[in-house]
Amino acid sequence: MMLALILEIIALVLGIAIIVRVWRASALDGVLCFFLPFWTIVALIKYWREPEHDIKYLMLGQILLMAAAGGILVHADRQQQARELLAQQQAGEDDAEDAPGAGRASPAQQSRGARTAAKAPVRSTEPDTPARAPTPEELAPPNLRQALHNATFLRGAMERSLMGFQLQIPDHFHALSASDARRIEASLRQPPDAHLVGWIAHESVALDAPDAWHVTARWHNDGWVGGGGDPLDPWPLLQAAQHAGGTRLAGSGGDLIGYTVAPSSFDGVIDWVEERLPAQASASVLDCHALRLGRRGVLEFTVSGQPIGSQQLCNATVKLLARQAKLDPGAEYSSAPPDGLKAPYTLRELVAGAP
Amino acid sequence: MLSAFVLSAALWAAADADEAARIEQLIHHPAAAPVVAPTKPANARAAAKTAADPAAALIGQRVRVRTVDRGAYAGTLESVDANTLVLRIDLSKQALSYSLPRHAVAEVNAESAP
Repeated sequence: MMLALILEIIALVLGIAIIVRVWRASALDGVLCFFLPFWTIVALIKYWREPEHDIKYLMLGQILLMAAAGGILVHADRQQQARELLAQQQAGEDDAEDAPGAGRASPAQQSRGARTAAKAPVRSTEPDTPARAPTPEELAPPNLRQALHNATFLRGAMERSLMGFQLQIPDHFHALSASDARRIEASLRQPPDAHLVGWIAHESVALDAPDAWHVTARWHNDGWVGGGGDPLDPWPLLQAAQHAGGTRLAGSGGDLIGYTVAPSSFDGVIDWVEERLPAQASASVLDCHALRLGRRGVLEFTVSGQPIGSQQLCNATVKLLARQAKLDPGAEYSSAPPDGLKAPYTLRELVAGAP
Repeated sequence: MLSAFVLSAALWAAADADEAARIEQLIHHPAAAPVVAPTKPANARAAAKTAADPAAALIGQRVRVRTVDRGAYAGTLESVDANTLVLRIDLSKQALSYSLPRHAVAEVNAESAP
């Protein structure tokens, strides 16, 4: 930052030198250069061939200095954003530890905003002071509108350095951290999800609308996942999935009717679309999945409960997110299992569900 | 080496940009988005009308149905006509009669067939 300031000062001095040089040729041009910045272009062309008054080298120097200062400022800004994201991530992990399932969370902690959490990632080591018991109203999860109001929508990249990857949020999409997404899921009376990384939604989608949709990003930190024979042959997969007792992936539950898009693998991304009949539902829905395998686990992107006919949109969205996710160096998938990091299931079992 | 890297990076970026543009189109103009559905030539359609439907021979058998959008469904073939193909799919608590539009069906095979 200090270097950027020094460069800006030198650029300012060069700007003064430009005005002085032009002033010596013509007082009017000097005054115009002072008040109209673009007039320096006119002066540059006008005095190009006059060795005593030309300003090309001064202008070139000024532009280079300004560009260098701008670059330094942008770099500093990105570092600041990364620090803020890391603080939010730490706050999210704190919230994960304090999730209702762990039985240690207070309603005040659960309902606080992500921004507040990011500013206070360090907890006091002082013993707790006695406090009154929370009322049933305070224990109740926030409603959806409150949870959305308190949420911080993120753009650009979601760094998850502890998990070893970075999610790139496409243009016109924004993301919610795990802690914000968990609060929204609590407001919808959904059980806490230990694998949740965040939600990604299109900016045009109101998340409290009846037809709202979003991508759920999850991380299965179970280790390296092997294929298990021909892992993506759709027929054995379909048969296994229809008799599976449960699945590790997010989705609508119920029974699998078939694959609207059968599982396939391309560029390290496995994607498919399931048509499911949820329990007690009269109409079937679509669940779109994309997986990105890593050395230490699997990144999952799921859009669930979509109407029939929407497979193109949800399939394209989960595939794009999975393809754009960046695994850290050393965290990329390897064809052979690394020592001691093998998941207790195969890719086939992950796609089809456990028997 | 460097040029190959730059070219592959550019292709990746272009593919992602295409995908992002397609998503925007599907969100804002879903009806205008291209639907991938191969059409049969006119003589093939005429021939299909006159010839016996090969899927009709599989009624009552376990079949595997491939759709034009890479879909995969399996079940017992209940009925077939010019517009729909009905499968009985056994779910955990019920048997479902599931209709597939014929124009979306790419192929129907008996389950024992390769």
